[in-house]
Amino acid sequence: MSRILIVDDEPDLRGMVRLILELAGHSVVEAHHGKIALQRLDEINVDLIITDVMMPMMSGSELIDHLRADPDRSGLPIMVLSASPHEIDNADHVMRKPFEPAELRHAVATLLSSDASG
Amino acid sequence: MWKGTQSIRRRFGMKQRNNARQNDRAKTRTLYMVAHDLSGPITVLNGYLSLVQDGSLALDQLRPYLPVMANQLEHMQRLLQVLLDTARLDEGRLELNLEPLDLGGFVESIVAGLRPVETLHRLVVDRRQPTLPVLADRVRLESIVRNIISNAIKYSPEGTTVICVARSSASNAVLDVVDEGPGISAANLRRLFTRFGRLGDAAAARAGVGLGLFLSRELARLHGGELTASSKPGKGSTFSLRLPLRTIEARQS
Repeated sequence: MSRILIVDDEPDLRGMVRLILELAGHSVVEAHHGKIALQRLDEINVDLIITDVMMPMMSGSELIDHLRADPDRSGLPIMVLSASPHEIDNADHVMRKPFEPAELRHAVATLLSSDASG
Repeated sequence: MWKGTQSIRRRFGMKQRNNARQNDRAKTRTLYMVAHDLSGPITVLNGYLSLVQDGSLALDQLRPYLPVMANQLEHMQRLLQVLLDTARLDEGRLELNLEPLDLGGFVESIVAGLRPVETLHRLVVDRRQPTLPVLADRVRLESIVRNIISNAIKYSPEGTTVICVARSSASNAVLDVVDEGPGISAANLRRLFTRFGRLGDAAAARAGVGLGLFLSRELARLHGGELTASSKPGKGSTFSLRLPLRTIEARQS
């Protein structure tokens, strides 16, 4: 079982992603923007971060920049959930909204397995 | 299509060309914004339906999520309303359905209807007058009030207080929505109510203000009122909606 942090300011979207991941056997932690995500990461270890881009207080891109600059966390796999047509170049995977639950499960499995092997 | 655009542009003067280009850009931004705002609710609704369809979730297990799905549909309906009103405004065909309302009571009922998840902030309604009679379009007034309250919540840290003060000032009923957020710079205050007035740079990446405040101000003006913002960077912002007070004497017929 892996622990996944979901960062999104939309509670309904977090809830839906949480359900998909929990049904796939993962444990889920939530944060509603980047700053809260960083606080959560100080308290617990996670195997993967799934983050939205446009959020108040701290955006997904700012969150990723923070994590990439932190030597302890720079290797943490990060998936972005994006509704923006613009490129996000500092994530390990970009999932375009709307997405199918199967696509999300598949991408999560791939990121978790490549993380474990590398 | 490219050739066509080129030949049309050649016939235009410099000014028209710039205006046309700005208009094009504005339209493109609107389209992206609409696509962005729609993608959330579609993702949520599609997610639950797909989980049932692919057998991950039994149909009766979907029941607890129906309120969430209904909420997302409402969200799309509000977006539709904004799009239609913006288009109607462009054509000068936006008509209000005015009815007598009490501004303080109206605001209180909207705040009471906000879901607990939206209230990681302390939300306080301070009614300074027993009644503040106004003539307003219920749907449009709700859209303005929701817009400024949800912005206040969105742009200020959780745990802080958002105060909605309903008061009278001269011949106006006034709603002040006061937050303890980071505040808005003078430059951004000027752009806030423009048609695509998102905040600059980092703030723009955090969240799009989009058509919301532009439309809210236009709707306030159609009511004979006004929507303004003031801010002290570092201290917080205040959004003030003014609507003409309707006194008992004015309420004939």
